[in-house]
Amino acid sequence: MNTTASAGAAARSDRAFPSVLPMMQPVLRRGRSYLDRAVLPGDENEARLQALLAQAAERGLAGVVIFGAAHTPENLIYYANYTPTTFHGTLIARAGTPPTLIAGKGGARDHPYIRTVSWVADIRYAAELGEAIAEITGGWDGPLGVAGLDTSLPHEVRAGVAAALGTRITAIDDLVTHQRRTKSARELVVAQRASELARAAASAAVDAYQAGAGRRSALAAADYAARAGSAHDCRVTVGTEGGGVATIAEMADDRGRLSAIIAVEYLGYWGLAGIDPDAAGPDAGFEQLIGRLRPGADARDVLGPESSATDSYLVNGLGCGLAELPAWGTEPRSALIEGDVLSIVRLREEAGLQLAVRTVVVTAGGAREI
Amino acid sequence: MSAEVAGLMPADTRALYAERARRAAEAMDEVGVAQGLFVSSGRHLFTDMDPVVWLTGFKPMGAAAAVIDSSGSVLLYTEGDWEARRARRVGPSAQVVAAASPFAEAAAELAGRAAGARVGSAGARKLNTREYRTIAEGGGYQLVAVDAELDARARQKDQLEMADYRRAAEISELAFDSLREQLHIGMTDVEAEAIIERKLRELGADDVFVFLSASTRNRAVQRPWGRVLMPGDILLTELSPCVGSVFAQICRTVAFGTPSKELEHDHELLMDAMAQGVAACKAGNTVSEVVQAMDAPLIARGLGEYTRPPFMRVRGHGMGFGSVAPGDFLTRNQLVLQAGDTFVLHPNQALPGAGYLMCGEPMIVGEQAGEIVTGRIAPLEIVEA
Repeated sequence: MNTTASAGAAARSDRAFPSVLPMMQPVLRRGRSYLDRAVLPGDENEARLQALLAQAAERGLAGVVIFGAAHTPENLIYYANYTPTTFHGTLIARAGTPPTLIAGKGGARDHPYIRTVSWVADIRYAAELGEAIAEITGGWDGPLGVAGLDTSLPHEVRAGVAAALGTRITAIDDLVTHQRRTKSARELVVAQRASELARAAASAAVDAYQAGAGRRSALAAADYAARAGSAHDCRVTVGTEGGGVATIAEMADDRGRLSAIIAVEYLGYWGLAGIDPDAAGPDAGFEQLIGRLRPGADARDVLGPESSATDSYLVNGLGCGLAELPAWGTEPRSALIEGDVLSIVRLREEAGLQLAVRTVVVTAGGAREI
Repeated sequence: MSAEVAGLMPADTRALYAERARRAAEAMDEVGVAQGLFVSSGRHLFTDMDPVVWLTGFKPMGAAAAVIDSSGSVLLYTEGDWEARRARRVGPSAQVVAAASPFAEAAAELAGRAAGARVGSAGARKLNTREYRTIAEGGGYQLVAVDAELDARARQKDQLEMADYRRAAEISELAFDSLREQLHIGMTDVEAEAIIERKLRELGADDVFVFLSASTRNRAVQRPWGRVLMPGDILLTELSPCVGSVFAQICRTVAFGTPSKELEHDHELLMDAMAQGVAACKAGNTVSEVVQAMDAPLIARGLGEYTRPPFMRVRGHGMGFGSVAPGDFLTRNQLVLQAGDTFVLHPNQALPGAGYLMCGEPMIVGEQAGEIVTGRIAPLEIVEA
């Protein structure tokens, strides 16, 4: 058993394997976009924001400014149920005052739509982001906790924000990522549903392939099943017979061996499933690995000294992002905690690259699949 | 290289990419630099040029950087071996390097090549601060943006881009046909969008920008949310598949049940505006003149205020991942059209009667008039109740 995260002879170099399964990012998350008031109502997002504000206050911060973007929407999904369309967005909040969401590219065209999905009532457009934030927070006494500044904004926009806020900026990315790590009961329900949706999509691909469809058409059937089943986004990475990975479009529509992983985003949370018509029953390697997952364990405990000639594993947290804490691909000494949701991707080099995945939640007694 | 993977390049395609590299070197020469650094974050934007994709034909899943010199020699840094294999399959004109950090390794290469000198950059505007610092700091060189010069050199689409553009237009119509065949009262907008996606995936689209939504009176087009489509609904879709990293777009309006007179009238008005715009899409006209031609039928009917926001945004626009010239179709855009320019033309807008409607086709500028790549201005579609 190998891992990109573990040390020793069994480890692979970072150059050979990534720490996260690569997936092509679409130009737009364009599937079902809505607020599910039954499963994930806006007060869930609001409670998260209030919890963050309480933590920020303990650090002496007057409020928070959370940045996200179309391709890095995780924080805005988490606090505002908002995925920017093609640009970036900003949530500005302090205790005791309704928050403000700055959104839209080139105007307020998106705002009627945003009002159908986000609990945040005060939605504005700002041509100059830094000035707008400075104006909104001008009367707040003290520094601002800021998340996503260096990762979600184009650097020139970030420079404008930094110039407008100056020394008031205090990074709170750590608070946000740790808060997102611990999943609520509602989040686990949604994660479960996302996994089920991914598995249904994978089954659709297998059914199509076994009915005679070519690989590309079979994967298109998976994409259809996910989207028609209410996915907000759907991505597929295919293991190739020549080794390495490909997108759906890069696959020939032929009857070659099909091995892929489908990622489905549902209500902001990701679920994964493997697509492999030739998969043969339970996998002992997976079972051994999952059996070692428990609170307090880190990558060295779980990915251990055993090795096989063919299998490697990528283990990462899963939630609003495809790779969250604990990110063993880059932080192998990060210990598991109760409530961690993990994706475990198996990379098997046997007649090319074959992909498989399991998703688990860590409980006090061990890990169980979701 | 595996034969299972589609997209293997014919030999003449290599020549096309060599010509793109030559044009890139020309752009660099215009700003006086001998070395260039073109970057892609892997976060793809529909209406932006991606200089790495255009230069190499490689659409990255993660970060990628191309180092190019004045001779047009290209060194492509990809994120790890898997991406390097993908790059070698689809873009063999560049020398590919698997890197743990493509930006850092490309910057290190340039530090050796161009210490103390200026380096032309493209795509850097879209990078976040961490990414930008990696390419800008500590390299001992000064970055100078060449995006505008590169876009100008890439504006004349080559054979491969035109073939991909026409194919993208073709499959957009095939996907809409598939949707049209399956649309029925009682299905959801989510299912409708999924039908489009499936057809496009089967036909080889590598991505698609789709808006699809419905209402009895639309205020704009948006993403589907689960609405059950019923008589009286007006479904809108802006359908933009990507083939070989080239987008084309069609815009369609579908009435569920017998359309109202208002709807028929207003959609015909948009078709008229579209026809006026097509006629104006000839080399030598400015973008502004095309916009004025499209606005004229509305102004003639006393709807002048509806030719401005918030009732409309733009009358068309270029699309990535090559040059996005001639840009947004706005009155203030005085760029002169040239033969071969490609873009979507769409008088999409809100009208006082039927609300927001869509009508749009992919265009190619001609010497005498525009060519509608789909061969038609699509009429209002009707789903029988």
